[in-house]
Amino acid sequence: MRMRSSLLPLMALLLAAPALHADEGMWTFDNIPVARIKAKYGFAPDAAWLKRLQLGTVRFPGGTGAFVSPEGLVITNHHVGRGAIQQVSTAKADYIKDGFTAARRDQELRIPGLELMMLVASDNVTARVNAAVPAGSPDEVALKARQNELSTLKTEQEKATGLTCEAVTLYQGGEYWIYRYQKFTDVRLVAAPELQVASFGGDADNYTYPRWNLDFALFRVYQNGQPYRPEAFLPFASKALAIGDLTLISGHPGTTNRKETLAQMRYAKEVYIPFRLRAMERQRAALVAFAATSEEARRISSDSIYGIDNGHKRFSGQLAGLQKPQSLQQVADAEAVLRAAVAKDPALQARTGQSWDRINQAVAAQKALLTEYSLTDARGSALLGHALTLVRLPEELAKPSALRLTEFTAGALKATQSRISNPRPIPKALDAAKLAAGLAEAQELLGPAHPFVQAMLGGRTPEAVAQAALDGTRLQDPVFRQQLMAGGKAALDASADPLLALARRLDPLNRRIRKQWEDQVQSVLTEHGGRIADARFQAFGKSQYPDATFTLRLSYGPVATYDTGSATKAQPFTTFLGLYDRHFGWGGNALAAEGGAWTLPQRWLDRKATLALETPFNFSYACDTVGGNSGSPVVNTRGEFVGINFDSVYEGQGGYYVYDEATKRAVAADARAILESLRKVMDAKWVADELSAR
Amino acid sequence: MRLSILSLTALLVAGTLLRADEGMWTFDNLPLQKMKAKYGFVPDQAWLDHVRLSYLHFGGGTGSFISADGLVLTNHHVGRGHIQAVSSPEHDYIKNGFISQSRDQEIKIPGLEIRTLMATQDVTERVNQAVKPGMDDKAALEARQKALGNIQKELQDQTGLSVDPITLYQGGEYWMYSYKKHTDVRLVMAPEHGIAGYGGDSDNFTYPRFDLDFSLFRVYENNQPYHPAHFLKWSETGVKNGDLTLVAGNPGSTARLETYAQMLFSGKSALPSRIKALERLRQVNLAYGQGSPEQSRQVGTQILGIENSLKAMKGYLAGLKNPEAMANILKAEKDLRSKVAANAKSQAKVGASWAAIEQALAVQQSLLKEAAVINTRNSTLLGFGLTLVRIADESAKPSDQRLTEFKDANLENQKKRLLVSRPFYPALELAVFTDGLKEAQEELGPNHLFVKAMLGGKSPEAVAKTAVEGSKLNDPAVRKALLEGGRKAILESQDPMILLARKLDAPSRLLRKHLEAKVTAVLTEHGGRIALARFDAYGKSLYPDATLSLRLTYGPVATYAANGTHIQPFTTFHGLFDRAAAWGPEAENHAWALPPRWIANKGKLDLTTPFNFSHAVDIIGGNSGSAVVDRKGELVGLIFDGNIESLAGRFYYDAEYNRAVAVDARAILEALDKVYDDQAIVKEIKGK
Repeated sequence: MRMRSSLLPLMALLLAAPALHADEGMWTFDNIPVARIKAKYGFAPDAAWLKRLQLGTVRFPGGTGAFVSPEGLVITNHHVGRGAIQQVSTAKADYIKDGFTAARRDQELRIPGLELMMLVASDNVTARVNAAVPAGSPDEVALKARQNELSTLKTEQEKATGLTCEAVTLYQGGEYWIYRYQKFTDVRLVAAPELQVASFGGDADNYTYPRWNLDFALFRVYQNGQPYRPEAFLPFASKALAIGDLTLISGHPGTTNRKETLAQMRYAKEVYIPFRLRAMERQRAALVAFAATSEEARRISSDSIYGIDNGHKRFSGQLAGLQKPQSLQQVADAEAVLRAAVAKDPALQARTGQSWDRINQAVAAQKALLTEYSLTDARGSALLGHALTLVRLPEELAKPSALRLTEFTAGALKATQSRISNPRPIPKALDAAKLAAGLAEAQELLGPAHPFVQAMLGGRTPEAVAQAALDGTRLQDPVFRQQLMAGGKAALDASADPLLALARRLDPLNRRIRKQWEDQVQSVLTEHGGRIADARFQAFGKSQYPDATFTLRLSYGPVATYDTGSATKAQPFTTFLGLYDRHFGWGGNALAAEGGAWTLPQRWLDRKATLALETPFNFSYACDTVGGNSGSPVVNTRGEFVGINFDSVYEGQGGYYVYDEATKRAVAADARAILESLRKVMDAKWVADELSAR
Repeated sequence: MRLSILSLTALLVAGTLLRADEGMWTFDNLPLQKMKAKYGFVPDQAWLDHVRLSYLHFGGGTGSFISADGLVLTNHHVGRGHIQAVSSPEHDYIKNGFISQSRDQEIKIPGLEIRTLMATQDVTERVNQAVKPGMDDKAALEARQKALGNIQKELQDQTGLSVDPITLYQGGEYWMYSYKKHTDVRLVMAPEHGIAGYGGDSDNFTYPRFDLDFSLFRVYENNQPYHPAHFLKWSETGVKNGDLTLVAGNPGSTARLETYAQMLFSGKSALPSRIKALERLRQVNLAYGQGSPEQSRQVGTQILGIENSLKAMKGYLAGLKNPEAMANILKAEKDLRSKVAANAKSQAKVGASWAAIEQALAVQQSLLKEAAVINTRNSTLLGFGLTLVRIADESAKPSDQRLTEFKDANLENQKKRLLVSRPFYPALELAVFTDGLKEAQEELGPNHLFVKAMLGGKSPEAVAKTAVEGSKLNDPAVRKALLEGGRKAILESQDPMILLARKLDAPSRLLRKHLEAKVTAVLTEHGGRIALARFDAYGKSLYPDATLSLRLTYGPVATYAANGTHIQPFTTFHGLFDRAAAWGPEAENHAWALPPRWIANKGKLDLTTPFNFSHAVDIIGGNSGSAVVDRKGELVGLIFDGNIESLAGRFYYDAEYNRAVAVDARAILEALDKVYDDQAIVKEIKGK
């Protein structure tokens, strides 16, 4: 609690401060609630302990991982590494289906384009960013000023340190930070189980528990052709984990919306999430139809379908959480407390008093613009996305950084350019199917007369447009994209590539709606979200944690049961016994159920007798996580690796908006199951030995 | 909590259409066309007779003959009270299980009677003829009851069988069900409670499940094993996912044909009031059980029963809170009412019935507290006392003027029950009776006539202590003497429980009379009228609500959506050991601890053996212990529970989620063979 001039309001605020629930919170490493943890668990992580965990944790694209050996072994989820595994698979050597184990180090498979990031340091630059905003600026001017200042800071620091820097906005604008990362670009696949075991139970079991997912994959980081020796790593635990034991988890939770206003939450519940669910259902139907066209179509689309299913269940869970009557009540109560605190303080009232109303207006604009804003884009086509970036590059580079679209500002440019040259293959047929479905959606929801629909279709059908564009394009070739990028405006103008032509028509329309959105929605939410966050700071200090921002956080909580939707208590651990129960529990015809979701690969049946079946497989624990925490290491109080986080239960998905201690449970694959499987089933004894070496 | 994502498609089918394999059908009115159309299977008369004569009415549940030598299979939880009755602190068969080493070591259960349904007879016409034009509801009820009593007695005298009058379709039909009684029933085998009720109250009404919930008894006649004409053959193949299963049994009570107002009353008043009382009773029993391990042993069965009822009632309540389902029920009622209104004759007879029922519910509401507490207040001894007092009074009247349970047809049963010797624990009696009196005082207030009569100005503690310590009614010989001594002996008796029973008698009769006149009579009369209107509108395509009498239901072994995923149709021994390893023996008061035999013999088991399965048959409490048979009429499983979603089945059937849970027959054999090494029984069951 920050000291304030008068004691009375302080007392009032102290009494009214919204209490955090149980082990709630995704804490930044500069603000770990050590006293709270110590009071409850008698454990106070010191600076060295925290530093080791920080440096032992890495960021994967869209997820988290951890160094788990002195020779650069990195563990993450199979579902985080899945894209990489698929990338080095072929129709003949299908490592997704069959799993992969390198026989020796020199057979580890390099993943082109895969980059891991390790957070080395972070600086609070709030004062400087705020100082960049001229007094009395309208919201959109202030937003731009902050963006420019952050971009400048980032560039400066990158130059100074040689590290990769990112600007991070915390507390909805209450704090601004620059995070500095070491980047690893030589990452090789060491071992991965079969998809069938990694995500046993398929989409049906996704977001549920009890669970039996061996959801891990092992990579190794190399530098200069040699295994990298990390400064810190998390050794596999030597002590057995049990119910009630405190666990801690570091990772990169992607997004939460807990500090949003009541109006924003209502919008999410009533408008945004239902809209997204419908869009996903539509896209899924299109991809399922595509997958049915051939075996190869099935193979290349399975990852995308999986992603949609995953998202759909997550959004459904969020909606269910918001629909619990106590959820929005809790938000309304907290908001009332904060607004009362603001109203009592003339300075706060002057600065923040109007912010809720301004956000209400922005939400109204959001409602009005949602459909158009969501649809006026590359429509799910990765190649059209590349085309749009290519078309914009020369145009944007001609402007000063401060006037560019965000992704082309000096600080972001490199990442944007490297995305263009990323060699990760993009199957054309799949991209065409996505584009066709996306255009059909736009046609239906915006109407055939809408300028975007007119511009994109020009009177033809979505299928015809998508087919023609993808048939004619060469943008799937990363070398060609590279050449276009290097060739600048002249090369682009000279190209008759049909996707570039499409991108040129999309460009102005997308800019227009984007500008509307930024002016009417984003800038207001940023400015006034920031003011509210600042007021929250004034009132409650840093006893609160910021919403998730896909940056490094720590959460903690015990291994714990909970009341499932089936009227009993979930067992805190599952074991290999249960894995086989699920397989045999379909009465010998597991193959017939849900596309064989609970069918075990043959070697798992053949080698069953060699396994210690009581070995814990997955466990549920009360750490506060969201998407992005996938692949997060779970450690005990000694900082040892006890499991890898891979999911959280459906009942707790409302946690994107409102934390509920009764249902917020994360699910991890137990470290013991990983070792047992490597040794007994995956022919990877040497890897297990490396992991358990003392 | 059911997940909204998966439930969207449920419950879309409204109204009077029967959903999927819905229905607890009487054997005289099976939906043969539907069965044939869906499963290509039509049970013929021989199949039905064989099944009916193999099944047994077993207390509040069901059982079946499974060998030529009178071996009877039921649930452990159905037999539990009887197993407890023959247990002692030295021989705790609940905790340790019981395996008879030979037939002469099978243990006779005092007072246990089980019954085979021999014949059924529709007596609707004769019962309705007893109602004369112009009778009011109360007179009509009395006339019907009288007629039923007379027919029952006639039939009993004629056949020597035990006859139950059964009211079907809320009074739309009246039947006589005639049973052959088996009175010498002995305990043959029971697994440990720890495996029979694996997962305890936490897992109760849930699935996936791992309960070996069976026990074996044997019927004797003339001290020899009884040879039933029919028994169920044990299947050699078992079932697999999707296979048709059929289940006969005695579902106890459903309320699906009740009016919407009755359901609302259940949701707002009846169930919450029952739940409150049960929570209280649970606390008293738990507190008593905490006194010592022996006390805990004594109340084990009661606590289990109470917790079971609590979870069930909360499930019923949850069902009533499902807005879509309730909207469907209301819509169906409106549909029926509009059909009634469209016909002047129907309208004249039935049009006012819904309003009449609502008035009756208002009366019931006003007497809710009295009806809940004006009774024997948890006291076994006061129960004996009241029966003795009433037999003395009632025997003096002509049969048709007596309280139902003392009419000629039932009197002998009442007397017999008084003479059975069962274990009695004075300290437990004192605890539950004291609290029962306190509850009455709190619910009705100290000035209520009943409270004043029972307490006479003293405290509940004092009254209970005097009565329990001073009474000799726990001695069957004392009860016998009082019974034989008639009215004079009762009036002269200074036994404090007899004295209390005499004080209880009057207010209890008064309340009962009032409720019968203003509530039961109306519900019977108008429920019957509505039932007839429903027959007129939809024919006999409907099945009656459950009445603890024999029914047949059918449906496939099936998964369902729950807990966010699809539930595996079978569990296996693998899963049993998974739960045990995952929780360890201490969690939730040892709910998932394995008995020592199971740990010791794990290595011998084929862990892939199916353990429990879920199937889409329409059951409810009372079906416990029902054998599950296949098309051949062979035994493939044993019903012991429904999932939590099945509890809404008290009010409506939900094909998508309602599942019964059965012990797989293969698990029983595997356990008897490998864990209990009971080879004689394995051989007898296999018939080889």
